[in-house]
Amino acid sequence: MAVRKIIGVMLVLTSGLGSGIAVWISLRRSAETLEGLIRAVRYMRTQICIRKISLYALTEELEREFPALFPGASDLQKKMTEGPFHAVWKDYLDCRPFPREAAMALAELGTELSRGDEPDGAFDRCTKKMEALLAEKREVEKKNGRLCAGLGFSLGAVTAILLL
Amino acid sequence: MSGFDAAAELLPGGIKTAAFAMPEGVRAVCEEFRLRLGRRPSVTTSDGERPLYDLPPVVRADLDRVLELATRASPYAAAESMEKGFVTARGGVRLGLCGRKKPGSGWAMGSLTSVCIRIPREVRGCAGPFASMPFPSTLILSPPGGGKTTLLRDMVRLLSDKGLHISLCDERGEIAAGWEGGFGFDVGKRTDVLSDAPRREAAVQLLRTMSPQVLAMDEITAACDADACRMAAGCGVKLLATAHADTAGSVLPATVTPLLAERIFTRLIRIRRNKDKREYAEQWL
Repeated sequence: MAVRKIIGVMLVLTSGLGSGIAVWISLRRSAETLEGLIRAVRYMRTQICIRKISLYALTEELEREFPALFPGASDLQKKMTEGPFHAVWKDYLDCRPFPREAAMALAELGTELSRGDEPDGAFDRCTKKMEALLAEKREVEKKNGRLCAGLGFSLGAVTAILLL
Repeated sequence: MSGFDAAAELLPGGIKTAAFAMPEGVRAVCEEFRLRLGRRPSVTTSDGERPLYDLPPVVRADLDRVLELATRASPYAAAESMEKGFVTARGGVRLGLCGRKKPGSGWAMGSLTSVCIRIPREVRGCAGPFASMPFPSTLILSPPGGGKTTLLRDMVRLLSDKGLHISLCDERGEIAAGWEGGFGFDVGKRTDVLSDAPRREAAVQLLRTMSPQVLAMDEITAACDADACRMAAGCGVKLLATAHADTAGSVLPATVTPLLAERIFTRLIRIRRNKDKREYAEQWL
């Protein structure tokens, strides 16, 4: 009976640890994606505010510089001659595995730039949103790391008791 | 891509389809597309302006779409020219803009009420009779839409290919139609093009750095353009320029008159339209 209880407790702790690790990995990936997107937004800002390249040309640049984040972006140019830029850009972002809020911030950036808003202001707003999102993810990641460590420690303790 | 195709590609959906559906004969004589808010889209030919088929009136979204296509969704990149009331698109297509202007920031989406899309033409050989050597400083005169830029472009090409070093101030980018590192029109083997810079500034730079034998520029309109002409003439450089003028009468614009009195230009070419043909009248001073 006692062995059954101990095995039960161990199973609960193992599954808790497993799911904790899974959530932690997913948060970590999401934070890495966000870091990549923030780098991409900085790159976009240089291209647009200094080089004054068009948003059509930017899609090619994004695919070349950030192939993992923006694959197939240069193919959007053809679609952009058929439909409004903001709609084509939003559809593309919706299909990318980006955090939802980050995709929304990028879509909004595209809308603001294509309708003639002042680019520096638009980039400031987008970068601020992305950085706030990243800070939030980092905080959750930290909390989850602590949870995983706690569960791991408990599992270790129970195993040790059993072995002894 | 022809000038007509480049211009028609900037039209929104149904209007573009209608433009491409026009018979070849009409397309060949098309000079402009005009889109005015609440009015039916129209096309200008040598016979005047007429509606483009039976299309519904232009709505705000149509005008915004034209601006988006012309700037490749990037009004920030064309802010300087938009402030002056125009945008130059791919292929040297110039769009004149009208509407509610925001001081200091040109136009944004939603504030346009009219767009005039000029169809650029390259008429090779039209300047043949006027490109003889030695080349005299020449001023081309005609009312708007008379074909000044077309004649200037061909004259630049011919003189350049005959061996003269030409420096071309292409403020609006419609003479050479420069786009992403290349030129849409042939402006000759020995032509150096400075685009998107104000004429006076461009003239000073070209005189100092490119040692031209001929300085070419389009549309002398302001006093500073006239100053640029004087400066070039003072440096011993020949001039080739255009200006708006009523070629039927004898009245010339105030900017041009002193330049003629000072003999900065020694030859005038007046362009007169006769239906879809242009007649050129040469006058030596």
